[in-house]
Amino acid sequence: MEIDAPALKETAQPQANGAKILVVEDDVPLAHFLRRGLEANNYCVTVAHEAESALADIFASCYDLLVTDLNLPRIDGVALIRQVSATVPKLPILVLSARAAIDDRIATLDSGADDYLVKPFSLQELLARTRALLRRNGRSPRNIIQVDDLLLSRPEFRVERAGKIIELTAKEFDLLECLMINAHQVVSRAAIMEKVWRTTYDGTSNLVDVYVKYVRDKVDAGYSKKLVRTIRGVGYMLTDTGRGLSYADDVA
Amino acid sequence: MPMTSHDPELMLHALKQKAEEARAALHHSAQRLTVLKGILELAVSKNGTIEELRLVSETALEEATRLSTYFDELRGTVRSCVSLLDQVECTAGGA
Repeated sequence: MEIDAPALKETAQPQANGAKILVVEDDVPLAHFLRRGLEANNYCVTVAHEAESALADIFASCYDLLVTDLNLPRIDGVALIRQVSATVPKLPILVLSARAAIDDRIATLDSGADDYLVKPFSLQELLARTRALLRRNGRSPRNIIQVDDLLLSRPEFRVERAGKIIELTAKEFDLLECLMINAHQVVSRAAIMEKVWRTTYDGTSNLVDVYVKYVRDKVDAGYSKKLVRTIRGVGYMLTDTGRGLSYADDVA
Repeated sequence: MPMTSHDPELMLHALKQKAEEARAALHHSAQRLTVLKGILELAVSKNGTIEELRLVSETALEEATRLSTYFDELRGTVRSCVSLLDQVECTAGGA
């Protein structure tokens, strides 16, 4: 699958601390409402307005739930669901659609969707189905994330390693959280730029590299096991040794 | 709009077209209703400020206006369908 369309999306609010949800909806006011409704319930929401950027986002990041419309431009919702089911089979998919016919529901569920909600729906029902899908997949809200002996608590704005508190600035905290949420996976500079700074990476800025160095100096200094890795030419990965992709340490 | 031809195939085609228009108007209405219902649910679930409530009211009004447009489209489509069906009946009666 080639992804060549420009990403058209609103990135997640960094202060959100719940499970990560990708909402795919081309109707802008509706997408805005879905984001507000889910964020008000502590979910970390990213909105994409078409399937191409949604797929790029799914491959670049790690989501707990995909919420998607069916009527999308160019690639429709069913095609998106088929691709996601084939490539990320563990990602639960909730479909929101105005198509109420039984045949539509059956076809969509058979294509790989886990649940189907007909528009107009109640926000409370959407939230209940969201909780159910996350529960079924064992994805509890990410208030506290732990990778090896590194622990991050968003509610307390606290990071500690092996029980020792690490002082971080707000941006360093957001960056570390981004790496920890995507632990054992490579996170590109572009993805970090979008998630942490909510801006597009122009390919020349060294802002990400500078901040990764700050974080690495605070998180890994004095520990024999280094958690923050540089994946040469690609980005960064937070991992304990022996897991994930092979890597080469590189001074950014 | 009244048909100038009583060709059954043309009438069937026109009816199918109207059905598609009705389906589209219903789809758009469902979208607008979802937003309208959702923002009102969100608003009543928390103690918002006057300014926040004013913004919600403005958005709700915008959505209600869009919904009215789709409702008008749907009403026009239904009228056209009734007119077409009358012609089909006349044609069938005259045959």
